[in-house]
Amino acid sequence: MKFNLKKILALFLVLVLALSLTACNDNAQTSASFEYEGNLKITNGEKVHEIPFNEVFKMETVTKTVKSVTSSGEELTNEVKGVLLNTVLAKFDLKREDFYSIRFVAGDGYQIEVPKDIISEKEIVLGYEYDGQPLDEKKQPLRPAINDVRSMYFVSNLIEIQLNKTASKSESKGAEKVVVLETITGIDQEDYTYYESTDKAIKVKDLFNKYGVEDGSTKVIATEKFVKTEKNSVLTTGYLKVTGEHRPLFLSPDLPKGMHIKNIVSMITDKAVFISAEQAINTLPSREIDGVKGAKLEEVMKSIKLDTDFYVLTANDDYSVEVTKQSLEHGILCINSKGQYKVMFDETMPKSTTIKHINMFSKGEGKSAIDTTAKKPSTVTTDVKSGEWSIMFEGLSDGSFEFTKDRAERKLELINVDTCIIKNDKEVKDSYQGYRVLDILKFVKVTDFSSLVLTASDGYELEISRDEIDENTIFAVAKNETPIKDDELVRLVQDSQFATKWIRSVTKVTVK
Amino acid sequence: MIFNTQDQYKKQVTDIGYTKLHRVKSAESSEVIRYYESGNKVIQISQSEGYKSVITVLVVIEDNNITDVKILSHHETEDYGGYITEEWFLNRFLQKIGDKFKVVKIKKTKENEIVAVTGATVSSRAVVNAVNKCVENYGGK
Repeated sequence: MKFNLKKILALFLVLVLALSLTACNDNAQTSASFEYEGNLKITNGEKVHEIPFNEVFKMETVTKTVKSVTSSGEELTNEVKGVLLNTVLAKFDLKREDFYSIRFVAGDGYQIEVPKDIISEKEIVLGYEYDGQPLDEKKQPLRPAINDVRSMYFVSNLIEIQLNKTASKSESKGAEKVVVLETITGIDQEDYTYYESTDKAIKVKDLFNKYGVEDGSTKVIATEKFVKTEKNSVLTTGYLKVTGEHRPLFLSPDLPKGMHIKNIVSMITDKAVFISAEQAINTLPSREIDGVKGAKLEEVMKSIKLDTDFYVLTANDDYSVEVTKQSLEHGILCINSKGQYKVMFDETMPKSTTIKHINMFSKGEGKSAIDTTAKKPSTVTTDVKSGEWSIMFEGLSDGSFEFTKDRAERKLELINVDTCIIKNDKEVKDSYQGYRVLDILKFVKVTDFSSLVLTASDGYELEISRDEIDENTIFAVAKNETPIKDDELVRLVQDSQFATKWIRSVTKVTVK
Repeated sequence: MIFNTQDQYKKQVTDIGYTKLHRVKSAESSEVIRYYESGNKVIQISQSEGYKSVITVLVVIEDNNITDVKILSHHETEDYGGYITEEWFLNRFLQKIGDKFKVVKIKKTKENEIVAVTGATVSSRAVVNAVNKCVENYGGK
C-alpha cells in the first residue's frame, strides 16, 4: 500500500510539473491559432474604427520575405506571416495609398509616422508570426513589416493605426527663418544624465515657445539619411540634449528609447527651421576659405530649403548683414578655433559679412544686400565654332527628343564657365564655353527630375543627381575658346573641385 | 523563483573576490536569497523582476556603507537594460545607507535618487528594488 501511494504521489508531481511548464496565458499564440483580447483601433480623421484582433487573425494571410535595417546599420531578413494592411482597411473601404502618411502606435507609447513615399509604394504586412514563430508576448498582437526600410517602422505591440490625409504645414512650404541651435540664447539649459555622462539639455517646449511653434508636426532630419516626422505634442514632452555624445539628440524620460533621435541635422516646423551647425558642417559638401574648411553656404541653404534672392545673416547679438544668393557660393558655415560657429566669405566679399555666433538665416528684401565681386558666368562674345554634335534626350513626358548643335546655337545662350580643379595635386584653371544643362532641359520641357543618366558614344554611363546640377553645369563645346575635338563633343563640365564626372562625348541623356 | 544551488552562488561570490564566507541562513528569505558574512562585510543576493528577465543582484555592505553592487545574472535587452551591468550605473549605489533608494530620470536631486539607465527604467528599477531589499535586510530603513 505504502509503495503504491508513493508511486501515485510521484506520478502526480510529475504531471503537475509537466502541466505547469506548458501552461498557456489568455493571449496564447500558437502556430495553429492566434488569439488576443482587444481591438485594433484605426483612426481616420475624426472617424474611429475598431476591429477585434481575433478577427484580423482570421483574415486572408500572406507570407512575405522582408528586409530591414536596424539603427546600428545591421541588415535583417525575416519571413513575416500576417495580414496585409490593405486587407484590414478594405473592411472600412479604405486603402493605404489614399493617405499622406500612416502612424503606427504601440501599447507602450512608441509611435512612428510612415511617410507617403513608403506607403504609396510598399505593401505593409501586419505580422503575427516572424520566421515561423509567433511574436513574443511583449511584441504581440501585431508587428507591421515593410520591405527594405528602417526597422523603426516595425512597431511591436501595435494597437492603433492613425491615417493622415494631409501634409503637415512644415512640409508644404519652404523655410522663412532658420535658427542655429548651437547659438540660441535665452533658453535655460538643464543637466541631463545620459548613460554615464551628465550633459546639458533644453526643453523642446521652451525652444518651440521661443519661436512660436505650436501644434502640428516637425520633420526631423538626422545623419545617415534618417528622416522622421514627429508630432509637436510628442516632441514638447522631451528635451534636446545639446552637449555630449550624439548631440543634438532628442530624448524624453517618458518616451521609449526607440523614439529618441540622435545626431539631428535639422528640425523643420511650420514657423521655423532649426539647424545644427555642427552636424551641417560634418555632413554637407565643404569648401575651404583662408585655410578654414566649412560647409558650403549654398548647400546649407539647399538643405534647409531656404531659397530666396537675398539672405539676412544674423548673429546671436542681433548683428546682421544681407547678402545676395550669388554670394553664397563664396561663403561657408564653419567653426573657429574658439569653438564659435560663424559664417565667413572669401576675398570677393567685404570683411563685414563675417558673422560670428551665427544664429539665424532668413529671407531678405534686397535693400542693402552685399554682392560678390566675383565674375559671374558670362556670355561668350568670341565666335566659337565647334563641330557637329547632337544629344538624344530620353525619358521625356512625350518620348524622346534630339537636341542638335543647330538648335543650341539658335535657341540658347553660349556661356563661359571658369573652372579650377585639382589634378595630380595641382590646381588647374581653365574656362569652358557651352550651354547650360538646365537651359537645355527647360527647352525640352523637363520641369522636374531627380537625376540624369549621361551616356557617352562608347557606351559609358554616368548618373548625376539633381543636386549636382547648377547654373554652372554645362555641355561644353569649347575649352579656353578653342573648339573641343569632334570625338569629344559634348563634354559635361561643372564648377567642381575634381573633374571625375566631366564625361566626354555625351550623346544621350536619360531623364529620371 | 530561480532554482539554484548554494554552491553556485557561493562560487559566483568567491569568483568576484569575496572569500571566507559564512552563510547565515536565518537572515535569508524569499526577498534576500543569500546572506553571507565575511569579516565586517555583509554580502547579500537578491532577485527582482526586470523588463524581460529576473535580475540577480549582489550587494555588499560594510559598516553601513554600500561598498559594492554587482549584477550576477540577467537577460535584459542588450541595447536597453543591458547597461545595468555597467560600473557607471552600479556605482550610483555606493554610499552610506540612508533613505530607501528610488529611481529618477534625467538627474538626481537627493542622495537616495538613482538616475535610471537611459531608456531602461524598468530594468533600473529592478536593480534598485533588489538593493533596497538587501539594505532593509541589513538593518537599514
